[in-house]
Amino acid sequence: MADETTNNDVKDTPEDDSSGVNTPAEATETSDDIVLPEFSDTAGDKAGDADPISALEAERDEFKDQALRALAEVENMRRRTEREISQARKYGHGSFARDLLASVDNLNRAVDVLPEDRSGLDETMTNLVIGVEMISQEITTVLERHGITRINPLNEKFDYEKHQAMFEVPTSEVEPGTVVQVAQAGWMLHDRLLSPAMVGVARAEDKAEDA
Amino acid sequence: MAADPGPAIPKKEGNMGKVIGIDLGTTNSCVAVMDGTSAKVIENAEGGRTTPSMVAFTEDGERLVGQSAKRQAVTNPENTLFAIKRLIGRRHTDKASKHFAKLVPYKTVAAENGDSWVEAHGEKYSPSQISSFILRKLKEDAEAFLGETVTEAVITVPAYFNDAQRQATKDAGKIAGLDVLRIINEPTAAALAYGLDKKESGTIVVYDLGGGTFDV
Repeated sequence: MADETTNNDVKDTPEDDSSGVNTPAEATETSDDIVLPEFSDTAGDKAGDADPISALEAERDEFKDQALRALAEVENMRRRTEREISQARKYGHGSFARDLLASVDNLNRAVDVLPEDRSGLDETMTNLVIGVEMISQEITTVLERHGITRINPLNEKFDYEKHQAMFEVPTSEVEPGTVVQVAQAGWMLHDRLLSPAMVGVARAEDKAEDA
Repeated sequence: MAADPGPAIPKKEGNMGKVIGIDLGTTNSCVAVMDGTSAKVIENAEGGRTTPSMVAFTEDGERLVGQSAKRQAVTNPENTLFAIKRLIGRRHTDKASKHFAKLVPYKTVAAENGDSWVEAHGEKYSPSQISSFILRKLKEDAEAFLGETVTEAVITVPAYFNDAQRQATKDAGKIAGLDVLRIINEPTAAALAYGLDKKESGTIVVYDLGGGTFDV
């Protein structure tokens, strides 16, 4: 670069060059002093350069902002997707379970009518009774292995998170707000309610009847 | 890029966060967000895609919203508020308000300015306030799903809602901490959603068979 001399147009505005960088002048003029071209980053040096540079800077800032936002958006999406996937894994079998549990409830009802005393039954019946009991046991074990547990809140305090009040029972035998009847057991999937227990709740006997 | 994007989209003037769409229904409400080019319904904390439009106040002073309010409704009929949408923006002396008062087990009262309000456990609430509890729950469900704060929403109302009812709905949003960008008619929203990917122009009829009302 030492061979080239630019006779200095640094301070003057180059007509055709809007970048503010000096192009080497033709070496028609030489001077004893070598003057190196100056680059200017700031917009304020030359009046004509101010607009293009600050316009570019504004554009650059806008793109930078958009880029940051896009990155944040991608990061958000990634976290959301991770969460959705782990939720789907954990609770995905919930609707299948809910549909199947209706039949499981019926199986439990069948087990409830099985007699305790089997001495009067013939061998076939006894085997059937034992078989049904075993099936019910197995199903309960499998359900628990997949995080599904039964809610049977008889005699517990009514809990609006897990029980659905179907009716009230006026009684003075237990404290008002106690579950006195379980029409249908409820089910939990891990910490999420699958279906609430359908219950009858005790109410004080002298509470006025609702219109 | 040296800057760490962080979990939330950086805010500047002209909030760039997501806008949620809310169907504040008479019986059930629903919230959704634009996911790319399609709308995605947001599940609530219990995994439900809709939330009952119910608010209850328990003996212990708790405020329940949504499913939990519905589950204890039978044991607490006087303090479980539902179908509040039928009262919002109405005067206590309206024929509709009077008719409504006979159908619900909870107390409807007149506010100082004559608006229809409700009472639970001795406290008076405006329908906008009650609706705001529902909107706040939907807002929180959306924030839990999106992983970022939500401050802007669009809420739909029946096409026959008058100015007072629309304003009261907007107020409910404000109380819930939402900047309600638009109040849109429900059938219009449905028509827009239907027409989003359609190219031909034409006329369609929208039937809105909801939990509380049937509109065309």
